[in-house]
Parts: sequence; structure tokens; C-alpha cells
Amino acid sequence: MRLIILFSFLSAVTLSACGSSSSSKTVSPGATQDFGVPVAAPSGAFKVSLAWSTDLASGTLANSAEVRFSDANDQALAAQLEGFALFMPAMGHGTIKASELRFTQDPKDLAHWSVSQIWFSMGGSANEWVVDVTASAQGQSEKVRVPIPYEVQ
Amino acid sequence: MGRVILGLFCLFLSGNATTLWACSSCGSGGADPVILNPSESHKLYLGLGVQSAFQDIDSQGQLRKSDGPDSKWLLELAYVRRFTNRIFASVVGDLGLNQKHDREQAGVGDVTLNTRATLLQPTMLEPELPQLQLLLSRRFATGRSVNQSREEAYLDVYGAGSSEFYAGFDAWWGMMPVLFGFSYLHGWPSAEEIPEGTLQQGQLQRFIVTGGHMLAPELKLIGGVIADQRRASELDTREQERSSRRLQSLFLTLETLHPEGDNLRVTLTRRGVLGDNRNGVSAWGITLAWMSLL
Ligand SMILES: [Cu+2]
Ligand SMILES: [Cu+2]
Repeated sequence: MRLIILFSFLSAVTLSACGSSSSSKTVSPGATQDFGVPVAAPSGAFKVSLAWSTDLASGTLANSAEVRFSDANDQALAAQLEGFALFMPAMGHGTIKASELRFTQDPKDLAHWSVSQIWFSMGGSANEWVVDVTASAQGQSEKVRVPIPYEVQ
Repeated sequence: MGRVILGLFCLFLSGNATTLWACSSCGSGGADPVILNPSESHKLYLGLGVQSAFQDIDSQGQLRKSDGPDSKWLLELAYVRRFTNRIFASVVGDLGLNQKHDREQAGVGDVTLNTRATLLQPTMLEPELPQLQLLLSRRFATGRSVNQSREEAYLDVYGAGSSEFYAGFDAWWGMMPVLFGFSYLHGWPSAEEIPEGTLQQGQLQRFIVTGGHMLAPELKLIGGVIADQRRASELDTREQERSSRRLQSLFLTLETLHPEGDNLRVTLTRRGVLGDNRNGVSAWGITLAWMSLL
């Protein structure tokens, strides 16, 4: 009996609590921001820079990015993209649905890759999310952390 | 003589001496939800709580719409047992239920073992002495964490991710007309394997300040502040930028203190208030608990 009173009291509290519903975000396909400043791998084997689709949003697979590899002299460098791991360093977590990621290498430009179906598990201000890019070039596989200087809605 | 009069005054205020000993600082939000009064040998605890109105607090202290559950329910079951005059221990387990719109999911949370050793116990003759307890706790990461989540909106997250060892103390002046206490807890989390590498959360410092008053001989009202600070985390031994955390919370607890028999407690909490909060969650919470000596 006591528990029944307890439950009805608590459910009254939650009913009033559910707040804003998620707003749907329109993503213009193909539209991307500019490539950011290239980040060098620790060994210097390659540099990587990213261009993101506009209107990054959490809770959708509509996000995408272009990846460009270059050498120390900023010349295009053929490279193998091996990993693209989103991470939120401040909170210490990654994202879900990493198995949905799609990597495509441009057959005419082996330094250029497209990554699609990127899922952010939560929104965040500019630079709250980063991506750890793993790639191999000149026979060396390395991981590079690239900032995402855009807000994720 | 003055002490005796003060002691008698306390006795008069409370109606029953044991009721004044009832609480240590962490009526809520400490490591252990249930404690034993000096006269008790064991107790069963059943708590039902819900948190909602979540907002994320980012590394700059900015509030954001939360992408997580709308409400998180928690059913807590605990058993506490005395081993000696001065030492008792409790085991706490819980079940979580997360809701977002019309979706919901339930699962087990973390399990905690807590021990308290009483170093100092005030008496009727020395009511100005605090009750002083040493605290040792261990949380086991049995519940699914953010980094093990597979569900949208983290609907399947009930645990903290890493196990953690805690040590601290709790000082409580419970025999004066105004109840007062403070406690400190230090946390050492274990490393956690996540898909991106080995995550080592930073050490925790938790400060709790509590004040209160006996509203009636067997009804206690306490409230206070819990201030958590956690140092920066490391991923594969590399310190993660802006990952230190701060969270201040307020709590208000109304509790019955029947010396023999069942007791009820209601706790209202407001997480993420009072100035500078970072890398946390702001939320409202309410917990109703039932405690029985069996
Ligand atoms: Cu996050
Ligand atoms: Cu207490």
C-alpha cells in the first residue's frame, strides 16, 4: 500500500518533467565547410585535414566529412584511411553506431576520402567533439586527433 | 553541571536520545544511502527515485539541451549490518529504468559496498562532541556505461563505467538544537577499457556540508550542499583536454526517526547549481525511501 502511494507520487513528478521535443534538422546534401588546418601525425609521415558537412547534428546518420592527406610539404599524399573514431575528450566517451560508418576513397585522387553515416551520440559546442583518425601512409600506421571546430546541434 | 543541563535540554528537544544520533552528513548523495544508528544492528532499505529535467553542462560550463533520457528511475535495495559496536557495513544494488518519449529500457546499475567505523560518539554529557566516522567504500562497475551503450539517447546506461574506491570521514553534531555536519570523500577510480583505448578517470574530491533541525521529536529536516571535483581524465595515458569536472548539488531531506520500527525518508535534489559547473548534468531528483529494522 505504502509503495502504491510512493509510485503514484513519483509518476506525477515525472509527468510534468518531460521537456522539449527534439527538433528535426535539415541537412543540405553535399554542402561542406572548408578544410581545416592540417594536423601532422606524430612521426610526420602524413598530415590530415577534414571538411565537414554543414549543420552537424546528433541523433542522425546524415553527417559526413571529406578527408584529405598530405605530406610535410602540403602536397597530396596517397594514404589508407583505417579508422575514424569520434570522441568527446572532456566527458571521456565516444559515440554509438560506429559500425555504420562508410569510407570511400576517390579513385582519381588517392589522397582524398569521404566518410559518411557519421553518428554523434550527443550535441556539443564547437570543439567539444574531436575525431581520432587512424591512417597509414609511407608504410606507417598512425592515429591523429583532429578537432571539430563546429557546433553539433 | 552546564553540560548536564545542555544534555537534558537535548533530551527534551528530541524526546528520545537515540533519535538525535540518527544521521551523519550524507543523508543523500554520499557514497552510502543507508546508515545505522548506534542502537541498531541491521536494517533493510528500499529506495525509489527519479531524476528528470536534464540539461548537459559542457566543458565551458555552458548549459545545453540534453540528448539523453527524459527521466531516469532508480530502484535501490540495500542491507546494512553491524559487525562490532563501532563498525557496520552496507551493500547497495540498484535497478535503473530510463525513459525518453515513448521508449524505455531497464537494467542493473552499479553495486556498492560501504563501511563506516565510528571513532567518536557523543554522549548526553558531552553533546558538543561530534560523531566522527571513517568511511571506506568500493563501487563495482556492474551497470552498463556510456562507453558500452548501444542505444540512441543513452537509454541503456545505468552505470558509471569504472569501479572506484572511496575513503573519507564524516563529522556530525547531532545532539545540539541545530544539527550540523560536514564530510569529505576521496575517490580513486579504476581504469576502464573503452573502444578508443584505456580510459582513466581523474580522482574525485567530494565535500558535503549539512545543516538541519528536528521539526518534531521523530521528524528530522536536513539540507546541504555536495561539491564534487574530479581531475582530468587520461586516454591511453594522454591527458584529455578540458576534462576536469565540477558539480555542485543541493539536497533537502525529510526523515522520520522512530527508534524501533519502520522509517520513511524523502529527499529532493537539485544537481548542477551554484556557480561554476563543468562536464556534468543538471537535473532535479526526488527519492522516497523506506527503511525497516526487520
Ligand atoms: Cu558528451
Ligand atoms: Cu545524513
